[in-house]
This record gives sequence, C-alpha cells and structure tokens, in this order.
Amino acid sequence: MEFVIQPYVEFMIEHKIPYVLAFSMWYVLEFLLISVFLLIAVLIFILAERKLLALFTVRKGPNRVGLGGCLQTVADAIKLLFKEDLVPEKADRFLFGLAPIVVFAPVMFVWTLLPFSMSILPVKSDVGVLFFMAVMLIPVMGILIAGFASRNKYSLLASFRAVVQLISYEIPMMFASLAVVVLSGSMSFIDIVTEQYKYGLLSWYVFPSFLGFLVFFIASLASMNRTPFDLHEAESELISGHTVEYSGMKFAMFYMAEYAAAFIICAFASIMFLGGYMSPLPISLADLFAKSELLYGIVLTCEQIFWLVLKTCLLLFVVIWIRATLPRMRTDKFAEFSWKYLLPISVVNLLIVCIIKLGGLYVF
Amino acid sequence: MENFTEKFNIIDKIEQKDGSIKYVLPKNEVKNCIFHLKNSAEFSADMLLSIRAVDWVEKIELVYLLYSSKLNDFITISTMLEASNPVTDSVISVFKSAAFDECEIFDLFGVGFDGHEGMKRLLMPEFYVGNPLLKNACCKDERLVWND
Amino acid sequence: MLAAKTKDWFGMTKELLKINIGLQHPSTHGVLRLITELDGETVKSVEPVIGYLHRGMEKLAESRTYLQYLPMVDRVDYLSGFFCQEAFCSAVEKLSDIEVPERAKYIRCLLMELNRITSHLLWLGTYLMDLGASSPIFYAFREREMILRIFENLTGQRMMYNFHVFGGVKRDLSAEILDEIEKFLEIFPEKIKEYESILTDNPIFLSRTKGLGILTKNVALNYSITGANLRASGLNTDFRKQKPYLVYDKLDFEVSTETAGDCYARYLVRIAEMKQSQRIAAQCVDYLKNNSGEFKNSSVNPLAIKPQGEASSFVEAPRGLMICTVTADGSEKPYRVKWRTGSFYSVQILPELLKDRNFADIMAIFGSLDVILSEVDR
Repeated sequence: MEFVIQPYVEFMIEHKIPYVLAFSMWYVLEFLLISVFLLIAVLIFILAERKLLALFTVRKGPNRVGLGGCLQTVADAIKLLFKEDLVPEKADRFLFGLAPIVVFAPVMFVWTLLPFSMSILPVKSDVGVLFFMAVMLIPVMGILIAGFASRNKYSLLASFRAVVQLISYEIPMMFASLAVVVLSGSMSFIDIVTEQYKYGLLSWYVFPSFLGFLVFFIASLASMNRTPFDLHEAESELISGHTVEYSGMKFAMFYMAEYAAAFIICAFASIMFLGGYMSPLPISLADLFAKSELLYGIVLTCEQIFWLVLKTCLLLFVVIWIRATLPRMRTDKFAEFSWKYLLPISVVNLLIVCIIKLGGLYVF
Repeated sequence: MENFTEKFNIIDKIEQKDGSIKYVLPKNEVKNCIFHLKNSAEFSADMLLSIRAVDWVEKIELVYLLYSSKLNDFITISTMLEASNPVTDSVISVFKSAAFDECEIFDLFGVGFDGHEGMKRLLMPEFYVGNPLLKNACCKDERLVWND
Repeated sequence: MLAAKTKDWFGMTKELLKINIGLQHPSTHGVLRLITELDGETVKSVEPVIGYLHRGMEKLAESRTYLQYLPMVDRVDYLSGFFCQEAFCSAVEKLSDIEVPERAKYIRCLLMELNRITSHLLWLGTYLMDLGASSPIFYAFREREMILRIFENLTGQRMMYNFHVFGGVKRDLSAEILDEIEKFLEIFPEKIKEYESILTDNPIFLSRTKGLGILTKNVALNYSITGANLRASGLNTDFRKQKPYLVYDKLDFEVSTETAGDCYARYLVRIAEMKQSQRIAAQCVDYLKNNSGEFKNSSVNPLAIKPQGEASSFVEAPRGLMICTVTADGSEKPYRVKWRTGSFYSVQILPELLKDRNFADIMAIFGSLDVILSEVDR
C-alpha cells in the first residue's frame, strides 16, 4: 500500500500529528475498511444466494424491500439487531454469550490474513497458510460451546456432529493445501500468488494439483456447513442445530460468521489454486493507463481486488448451485466418505505433486 | 367356508348391505378363530385390516375385519361383549397391527383386552375421564367443556 | 420414565439421551410426537405418541345427519379429500341402495386420480425436504398448483372439496375444465422425468434411501400396512385391481410394485403410481369428452336418507387402504361411523423400523412412509 502510505505520511507530517497517533490510526482505518468490506460482502452474498436459489427453484425470491429486493438483507440485519436477546433459563449464561464471539472473531481475524492485492495485506505472515488453517478451526470450538451452553438436546447433538465433521474434513483439506505449499515452496500467500503468475494462466496450481483442488473444494463445503454437508444445521433433523436457542444479535453473529466463512474459504481457495488476485489476462489496465505512480497503484489495486472477488464469486456460485441440487448426507456416511475417499485421493495428489516438483517435470 | 362354520360355534350370520357376511362368534372363540383364519391353508388371511367397536348400549360389539389375498375377499368376524364388563382376549399375538386398534377401543369405548401390555389412552389425553364414543358418554372433565 | 443407565468399560455411568422429537418438529408432518432414546446418534427406542390432532370425527358423525356430516369428511385426510368423500358416499350409497350414474363414476375416478397425483407430489417434495434437498419441493408444488387450480375452478376449494353428493357429484365437468385437465396430463410425464433426473440416480439420495427402513413382506402384513408401502415390499395388493370399485375394472392400468421394501423402493412405487394415475386420468377424460349422461342420480333426496344396516366401503387412498364403515339404525343420523386409514398403521410400525438406526434416518424412514397425522388421529 505504499502508494497510499506516502501521501498519508506527508499529510500527517504537514498537520503535525504525533507519530504514534498517526500510526495507530492507520491500522484502525485499515482494519475498519477491511471488516466493513467483509460485512458488506456478506450482506450481498446472502442476498445473491437467496436470489439464485429462487432462480433455481422457479421463484422470485426477495422482491419487496428496495429495488428488486436489494435491501432485503439489510432489513433482516436491522430486524435482528432490534430483536430481544433471549437466554434460556437453565443455560450457562457466560458460555452462552461467549459462543457467538468465539465463532465470529476468528472469522473476522482470518479475513485480514488474505491478500486482496499485491499491496493490501493487513497481516503479513510467512506461515499464512498454516495460520489460516489453524485459526479456521476455532469456530468449531464456538459451536461446541454453543451446543453445551444452550442446554438443548438438539444443540448438543449438533455440536457433536460439528466436531465429527471437523475431524473428517480437516485432514484431507490440510493435505490438499499442502500440495500447494509443496509446489510454491512457501507458506506465505504473497509467494503463492506470485509463483502462480510466472507463466500466466497455465501456472495456476489447479492444473498440477487438480485432484487436490477437488478434494479441497469438497472439504471446504463441509467446513462452510453447506449442503450436502450441512450436517449440524440440518433443519429437518436438528432444527438448525446449535443456533436453536439463539436470537437477536447473537444469532446474527452466528449467521454472519457462517456466510463470512464461506466467502473467506472461497477466497482462500482462489488464492491457493486459481492465481489469487492476479489477472488471467496478459495485459492489465494499469499498464495501459499508468500516468502517475499513485494512479497506477490505485488502478492496479482495484483490478486485483476485482479479479480476486470474481474468482471467489465463481466458486460461491458453484457452492450455491450445489446447495440447490443435492440432499444432505448422513454424518457417518460423510465420515466414511472423507476417510475412505477424500483422504487417499489427497495423499495421492500430494505424491503426484511431489514427483512433479522433484523430478523437475513441472517445467514452470 | 363349511369347514369354518363347523369348526367354530357361530351364533349368527348377518348379511350386510355391502354384500359381505358378518359371522358372530362368542367372545372366547374370537382369538382362536382369527388364529385359524390366519394359519389355515384354506383362508390364509394376511391382514387384520381393522377392529371396530359399536356401542349397542347394553352390549358392545367388536368387529374384526380381515383380508385374505388368496380368496381376494374380506372376512368379517364379530362378537358381543357385555357393556357391564367389557373384557376380551387381545389378538396382538396373532396380528401385531391390533395393538393400536385395541388401544383405541380401550380409549374410546373402555373395552379391556387381556394380554395387551402397554395399554394406554391413544387419542384422548391421559387425564381424560370417561370413554367418549359410548352412547351415554358425557364429558365430566370441566377443562374440556367449552359450551353447554 | 428414566432412561436406562448402563456402565461402560471404564466404569463410567452411561445414560441414554432421551429426546422428544415432535409436535413442532419440522419434519414430523403435522403433530406426531416421537419419544426417542439415543445412544450417541443411534436410536435405541422410539415411542410414537399420537392424538394431538384428534377431532372426534367418529363422534361428530353421531350427532349429525348424513348430509351434515358430508362436508366434514374431507378433513379426515386433508391432502386427499376426494378419497374420503368417496369412501363415505359409497358407504351410504351401499346402505340405501343408491345407483350412481356411469358418468358420475368416471368423474369421481378422474378427480380421485388427480388428487392422488397432488398427494404424491406433496409427499415427494416434503420427503426430499426431510432429506435436506431444498429445491424438489418447489418443482413438485409447481405441478401440484396446476391441479389445485383446476380443483378450485371446479369446486371452489383447494383442499376441502365437498364435491361428492349421494348418488353422484355436485356439478358436471365443463369442456373448459376437461381441456385444462387434458393440458395438464399432457405435460405431466415430462415433469415426472424432470424429478427422476434429479433424484433417481443421485448418489446422495441413493445412500440416504437404499437399503434403509426395510419393510419385509411378513412384517408389513403383520402390521396391516397397505397402499404404496405394501406394494414396495413385493406384494401387488391394490384394491383398485383386487376388488374394483367405481369403474376401475374398465380402465387400463398397471399395479406398480417393487421388491426391496426400502425407502428407495417406496419412492419408486410412488413415482410409478403417479404415472399410472396420469394414465387412468387420461382415459377418464377421454370417456367424459366422448360420452354424455347424468352426473348425479337426481332421484335421491339427500335429506331423506334413513338407511338401516351396516356397510363398508373401501378406497385405495394414496396412503393406503381407506375403509369407511357406516352403521345405521334407521334414523336420519348414522349410528356409528368408523374410519380405517392407512397412516394409522404406518405410524405403528415406526418402533420396529427405527430401532438401531441412525438419528438422521428417523426422518428418512418416517418420511418415506407418507404419514398424515389428520388421518391417524381422525
């Protein structure tokens, strides 16, 4: 973000603002920008999902609030904000309040790990992939807490299912991401994306590790609690599981966290396998219209954000499509599926990738 | 049918309006009769379609409706119980489908079934007093009365 | 009732989780309550509790005349009103020797088969909903809506039709309605293909239904299961063929059976039944277009019905055999009316089918039996 930092620093010096204040303000602004971006993205995503599902099922979908229903999710969010916050009498009040935070906070945090463009990377980490995978496990803990704290047998069953599901999908997902790490030789997101840009479209890791991409995608469906693996939400069995007793803002936090996680995981997948923020086209707009350094930086950043969002949206479209098509799997069948099919395939994929890398067959 | 009429002490044969014949048996022979109808090669009744009760004020009539796919016909067996002491043998051991039917009759008519374990009120609430489908039934529970 | 306590290998006390599925649970299709004991996710015992929709249909009959009771019988099974109407009407017709004209019989047949399609479509949608697929219900309701529109045009009601009268039906089918029905019957086979293309070979659907909830022939007969559930177990007991009523002996159709007896077989049977219903309805429309006649026996005075004796009528309803027995004592009110319905016996079999199954299978198995609670409690 150097092209913005430069004028910002100059502005601060000009107005004689102390260094510490300017520095912390910069970070606050950056995080605010990113989290607001995520929240807006989630609102749009929920609306898009409802509209798309309506399209798949011959309906109109939300069409009353705003132009063509475009403000429906905003209205829903406001409604949830004003709802009474109910706590069951016999629930553990502390844990009951803690659970939504434990689910929501890691998701917001993980969002800052992802690079949106070459210059926007709030948290720079050399082990980004590992960090990402580790932090994305914490929401399941929150679900477990919610299940125990709300003193509801359905919630309890749902939280058990969430853990069973986690154990099943996490390992294949790790192996699939490991293949990318092997290919790029780095765990930093920036390195991974840069490696995938060397030879344009062809250097995307989806080609050498196609099986890995499939495994990752299927496992990520489970980690997003989407059909066919929405086992612990299962509204026809567990009456939407761990959120049964939640209302108002706490429910909204669960809901937002789930959709945000879906968005983030798809963004993660597009960074790992589909070249991230890099354009698949050989020419970029910034090269054509680069007059000043500032303009060049802004155009390039916008362009890169566009490509990342586009790739993410494509993946999300497939996710919604699958939701409209498939019935739910059974818990034990899913565990069987993960351990018997996903895990071996991801290991084989890792082997193939290693051979490509070591043998130098992978010419890129 | 001859074999059947000889074997059991049939009190009455009533031809019904839909053309079928209702065989009236004494109550202690009903279970054996249904067992025979199920297992004899002649009838081999597959299903006990329903048991219904009719309250004739001094007597309560139980009607067993069986179906035999071999004969492709319904067989109707009937028995009369004294209204003062309506108890008969359960036929669960012959046809399991009788379980709910007997519970229902117990609930709505107050007929007891010997050998039926887990007898309970099926349709009426547990706290309800009385048997609503009896002709002289009146609702004694004031919680359930909402008009005169 | 306390859940059974056992000790495991480490001497820890283990208790079964007692969970109350029901009344307001989204997939109990009404107000069934299942008291379930779970060991982990394995169902150890299930006890169905019914009676929450008990409206006293049988008692109500005793204080009403035959004509007054007629509008009520739709509510016995609110998803297949024409079948209940037919069962009650034909019982009264048998009792008082009322002749039904040929055209009225065809009209009744046609309406019943269309009603069977709506009922099966609703089952298909809600069943897939139970399994977690959200779209098929909208596809099924799209076609169901077409039939309900026709019914609404004809009878003024979408579900509680009150269209039968003793000795016929209330109105004749006009040429426009026959055209509408014909139009629907033409497009319907394609729509069935559409459902089948999403479901029949869907691996997840197969894994959720195949080999699950197996109802063997003997168990089914012992529990007096009828209808599509019985035909999925390898028996071809269809009372439309076995003991034809109305004009079913003149119509050409096949009884669809499967041998596996699992949830998938029940699904296949219902899909096949919809196809057969379409076939029957097409024949009825054909007859009604080319023949004219009386649509009701105008010599009947419905207020003056005072029969004597006892008569049963049986109808092959979408959820199994429906028998209505009317006992009459010569007065203007029935002495006793007994409804025998298929769902009542399907609920009874749940403990047997659900034992030692996975928790998620409760909905898969219960849904496949196609139970309607209004029919169970009456």
